[in-house]
Amino acid sequence: MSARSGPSSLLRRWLPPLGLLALLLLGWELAVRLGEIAPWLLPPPSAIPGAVVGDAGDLLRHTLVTLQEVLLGLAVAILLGLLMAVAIAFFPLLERALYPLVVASQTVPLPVLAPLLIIFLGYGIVPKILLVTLICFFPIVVNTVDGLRGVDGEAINLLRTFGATRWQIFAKVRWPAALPLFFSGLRVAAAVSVIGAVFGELIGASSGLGYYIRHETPLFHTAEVYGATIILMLLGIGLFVAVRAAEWTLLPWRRGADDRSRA
Amino acid sequence: MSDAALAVRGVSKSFAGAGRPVRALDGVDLVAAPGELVTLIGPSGCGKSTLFNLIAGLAEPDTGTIALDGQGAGQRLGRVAYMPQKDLLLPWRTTLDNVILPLEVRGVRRDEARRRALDLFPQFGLEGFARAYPQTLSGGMRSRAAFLRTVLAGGSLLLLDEPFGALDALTRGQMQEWLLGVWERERRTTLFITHDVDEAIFLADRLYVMTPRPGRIALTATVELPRPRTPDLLTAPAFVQLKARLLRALRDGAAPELEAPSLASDIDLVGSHQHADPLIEGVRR
Ligand SMILES: Nc1ncnc2c1ncn2[C@@H]1O[C@H](COP(=O)(O)OP(=O)(O)O)[C@@H](O)[C@H]1O
Ligand SMILES: [Mg+2]
Repeated sequence: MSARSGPSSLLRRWLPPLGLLALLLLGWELAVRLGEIAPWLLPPPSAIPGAVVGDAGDLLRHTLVTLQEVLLGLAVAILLGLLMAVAIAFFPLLERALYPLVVASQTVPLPVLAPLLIIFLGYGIVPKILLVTLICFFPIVVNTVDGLRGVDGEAINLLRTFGATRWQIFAKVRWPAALPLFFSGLRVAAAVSVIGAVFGELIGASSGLGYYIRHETPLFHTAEVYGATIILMLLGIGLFVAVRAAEWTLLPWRRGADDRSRA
Repeated sequence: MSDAALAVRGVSKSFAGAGRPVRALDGVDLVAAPGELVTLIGPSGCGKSTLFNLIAGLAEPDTGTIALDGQGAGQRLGRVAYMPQKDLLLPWRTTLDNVILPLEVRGVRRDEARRRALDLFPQFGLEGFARAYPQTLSGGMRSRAAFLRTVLAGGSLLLLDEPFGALDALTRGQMQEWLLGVWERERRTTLFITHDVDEAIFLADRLYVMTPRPGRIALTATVELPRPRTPDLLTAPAFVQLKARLLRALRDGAAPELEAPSLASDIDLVGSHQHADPLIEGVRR
């Protein structure tokens, strides 16, 4: 276990994915050069950093817009998701009313919903936040409900023998017991959150990385488009890692649990 | 007995099982005087834990009454210190924070509760483990942590449900002596469930033997062995004789069709044909 935190274990963990990535990039570079593919069709990866640096100001501005939409959307999804999860876990009537709608909300295709939302709410930030919320709240609700329900009934009875109120039982047993599953849901949500924002921006926006991509594509600024795409991926990965870090800080008792299950 | 710390009278309890209801307890009578240590022994599934749940107030009996300190009415939740069969230490709380849970529920400030609990850590063999998570503790330590939590729950009646059931024999022996030490200092009325005959006798002022489903009291006996109890008592004649009686009661209960005395003694492994020891006075029901 302790060896896992050492530098050699870090290397062992990251070497395979990074090595594979390097190999793929190398293959791409060689294919473009040897195949004499036009750079506007498929730029070599080596052209992308230059394109990003050349357009750094614009890219930064659009990145911040997208990031803002994603963070706000995630925040709303967390709030809404937790409220719904508690409602579903504790009130059978609400469960029957809400759960089917929660599931149905995930079956609406984004390409249909996004333009409708933009017609309703305009080119501003609100429809993007809603799209992020829509795809993020589902994993949060489903996981948190499972967590709240999976609590050991005997632990709850123990608290009852202490004379605990319903609220104390929630605060001291149900909620902490559900937190690890809430975080699993949030991790999934963070990874997919960027998709919602970009979808909205592609369809109707005046800023954001989605808007940038739609604007640059017809100009055949292909390297810039790839650069923007990589930034989007990094945003998703960054959010995922941030949730992991929050989990590590807030659930000290779980440290190492995932290493153990992975081993 | 109106001055009893606990008086259980004619308590029955059934559970809705698959098909017909399961009768877990049938007309159980049980009393404990203030400061008394009473053990309850019976085969697994005979309703011992169910009886504790009823006494603690987690459920109500179908028939019969349960009185604490002479009061038969009112809420029992929050008045009895109950240590369930599983230690139920919460994995997200450190040992110290697990132990103070009942104090927190009663509204004691966290730092005050921690201070009070920490004072007791050495006595409970937990010194140095306040900040450790329960997942990292040994079985014996987990039991002691759960026991300390129970002691801090207050109330004059302690219910201990097979607290040492999961421990190896050696650790269990140490824990028994240690428990007696704590009990002799605190003198809280204690009801102790076990399925270990030696343990039932070694600890008790008085003991009850239960029959398998439906749980009934088959035998009650006073243990007139001197205190403090030491391990060499396990081989004392009075101990061995009482043990033989208990085993017979347990076996008769387990096979009620074997009513003929000759058959009953045939299956008696200990060969306890001695007459009841004058020190031990029991009531066969
Ligand atoms: N909540 C419950 N629902 C249904 N049956 C139960 C419940 N609790 C206990 N029982 C049944 O009652 C009987 C006695 O159980 P228990 O009190 O746990 O026995 P013991 O503690 O003596 O091993 C068992 O047959 C058990 O299956
Ligand atoms: Mg039991």
